[in-house]
Amino acid sequence: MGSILLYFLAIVVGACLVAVAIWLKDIARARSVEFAWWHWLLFVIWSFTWILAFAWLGSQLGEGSMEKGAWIGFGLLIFINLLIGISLVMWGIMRPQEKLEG
Amino acid sequence: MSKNHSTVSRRDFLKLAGIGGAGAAAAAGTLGWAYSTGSHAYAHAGWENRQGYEYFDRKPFEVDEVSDYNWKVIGPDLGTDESPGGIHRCDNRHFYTKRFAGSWGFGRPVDPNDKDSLPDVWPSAGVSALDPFWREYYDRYPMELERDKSYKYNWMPGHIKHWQDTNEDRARFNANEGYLALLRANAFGYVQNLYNAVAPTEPPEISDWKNVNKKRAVFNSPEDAANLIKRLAHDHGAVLVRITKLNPAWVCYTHTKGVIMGGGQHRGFGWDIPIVAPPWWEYAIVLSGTMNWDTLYSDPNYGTSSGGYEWSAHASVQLAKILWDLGYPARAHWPAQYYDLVAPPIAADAGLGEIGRTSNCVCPEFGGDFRPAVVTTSLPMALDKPIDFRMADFCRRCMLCAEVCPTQAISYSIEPDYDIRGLRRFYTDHAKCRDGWTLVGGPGGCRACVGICPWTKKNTWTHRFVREVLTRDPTGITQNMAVWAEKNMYPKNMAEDLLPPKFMGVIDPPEWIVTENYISGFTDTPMGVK
Repeated sequence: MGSILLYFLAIVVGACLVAVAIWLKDIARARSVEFAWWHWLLFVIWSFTWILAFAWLGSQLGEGSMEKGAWIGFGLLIFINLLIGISLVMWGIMRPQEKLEG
Repeated sequence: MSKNHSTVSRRDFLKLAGIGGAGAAAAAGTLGWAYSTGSHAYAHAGWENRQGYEYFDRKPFEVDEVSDYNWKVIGPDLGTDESPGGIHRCDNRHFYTKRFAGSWGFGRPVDPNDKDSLPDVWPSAGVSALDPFWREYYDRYPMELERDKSYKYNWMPGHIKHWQDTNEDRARFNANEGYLALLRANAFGYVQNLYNAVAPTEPPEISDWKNVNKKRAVFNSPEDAANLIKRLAHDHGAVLVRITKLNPAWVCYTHTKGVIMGGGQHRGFGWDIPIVAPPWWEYAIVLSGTMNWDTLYSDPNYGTSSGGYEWSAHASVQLAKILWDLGYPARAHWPAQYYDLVAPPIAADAGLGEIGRTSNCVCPEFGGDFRPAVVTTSLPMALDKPIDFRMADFCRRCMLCAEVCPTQAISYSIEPDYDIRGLRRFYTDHAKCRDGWTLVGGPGGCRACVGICPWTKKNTWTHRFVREVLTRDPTGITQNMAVWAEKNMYPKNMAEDLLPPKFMGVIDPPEWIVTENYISGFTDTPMGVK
C-alpha cells in the first residue's frame, strides 16, 4: 500500500513540476527571455527542496519523538527554497530592466 | 502571459492559481505520505526482517578483518589455552560481580561466601596482603587494581548513599509514573524465565547431541545451508542473522557462581572448571531481535531489554532445535545470561556491526538496539565477513553515549586506549554501568547509551538516507553535520536528568506507556471474589 501511494505521489509531483516548467518556458517565450542551464538547475533544486521539506517534516513528525528537529529541518529547507525562488523572481525582474537600460 | 498588460490576465491568473494549487497538493501529498511512513509499524524496524528482508546492504562494507577500533590484539600470549591467539579468554574474575559481590544490586549479595577482591580497608602491606586468588589476578592485570581501588574506596560509598537516599523516590516512581513500564517488563521477564527449562545442564558431549536426528541432511552447498539457516532464523524471529567461524578466544574460560554468565548455571561445564570448546563449535550463527523503539528512546526509566532478549532467546533455541533435526549438533547461547561465550565480538566477527565505545556491538541499521544470541554448530555454511561502515569515524566525533551516561562509565577517549586481557579497546566501567541501574526507576537496566546512539534509529526514509550518506562519505563532512544536528536539533535529557528525583527518559516516553493516561488509582484486590 505504501509503495502504491508513493508511485501515485511521484506521478502527481512529477506532473506538477512539468506543469511549472512549461509555465516558466511560456513566460520566458512571452518576455523574450532565454533561460540558461543554471536557471533550470536552480529550478530543479527549488522543486527538490520544496518536496523534500514536506517529506522531511512528515516523516519526522510521524516518528513521534523528533518534533523540534522536524520543524528546524523543515524551516531550513523552506528557507533555502524561498531563497532560490526569490532569486529566480529577482532575476526575472532585473533582466528586463537590464535590457531596457541597455 | 499577455505582453502589454501590466495587470495579470484572467487566463494567467487561472494558470498561476492552478500551478500554485498543484504545488500545494504535491506538498500536502508528500507530507501525508511521509507522515504515514514515519508513523507506520514498519518504521519500527524488525517486523519486515522476519520475512528475510534486511534493508541495509552490508556487502559494500565487508572487510577481511575487524578493524583495530573494535579491538587490537596486543597479547601477551599466556602460552596456554587461556589465551588463544593472544586474546585472554574471559576469566570469571573479570566480572565485577565476582570482584564486588555487593555491586549486583545493593543489599543482595550474590553469594555470602564470596569475598570481595579488595578488603574494606586497603591493607598497609599492599597487594601482598590480598587473597592469593586475587593477588594473581592483579599481578596479571595491574591496571585493574588502580581502577578497582578507586571504585571500591572512592566511588562506591557515595553511590550507596545516593541509592539509599533515593529509595523513596524510586518507590514513588515505580508505583506511579513507572507503573506500566514495570508491569510490561515483568511480563517479558516472566516468559523469559521459562527458557530456564531448555537451558543445557549437561556438557556439550551430551546436551548438544542427545536430540540430534540420526539421519543427517546433506546440503547442496555451504551457501545453500547458510541461506536456509538464515531464512529459518528470520522466520523464528531473528531480525539480523550472520555466520562466522567461532574464534575460540571468545569462549569464556570458566563458569563460576555469583557471575551472571550462565544464568546461574554452569551449563554442564561445572563450576570454575576451564571450558573446553568441543570441535563441533566450529560455526557461530549470530542472530538478534530488537527492543521496542519508543520505550528504548525513553530509557533508562521506561524501557526494558527483555523484549529483545525474548526474541533472541526463542529464535536461537528454536534454531538449535532445527539443527538437531537436520542431524547436526548445536547449542544455543542466548540473552540475558545463558551464554558460554562473549557474544558482541562474535557479532563483530560475523559483520553484524562494530564494537563502539560502549563495548557493545553497534549495527548500521539498528544501532545498539541489538541483543545477540549465538548458536554454535558444525553444519558447514558459507561465512559472512566483518564490516567497516565508518562507525569509528563517527564515534570519534560523537561521544553522546559517554555524555548521557548517568554514572559516567563510558570512555571519552578518541581512540581505544585500554589494554586488558590481551586486547587494546575502549574502557567501559561495567561496575559503574551496573550501579547506574540501581539508581534508575521502572523496569531496571539503563540503556541510555543505546537509546541516544545516533545509529539507533527507526526505519524511515530520512534515517535510511542519512545512514547511506554517512557510511559512504570519506570526507567526514556529513558526519560532522549529522553530529551537529543530533546534538542541536534533537534535544535530549542527559545524565542527571535521568536519575532520581527526575526519572526522565532520554526522550519523553510514548503516550501508550504513561500510567496516568489509563489508570486513575488503586484499590485492594478482592482476592478470590472476582
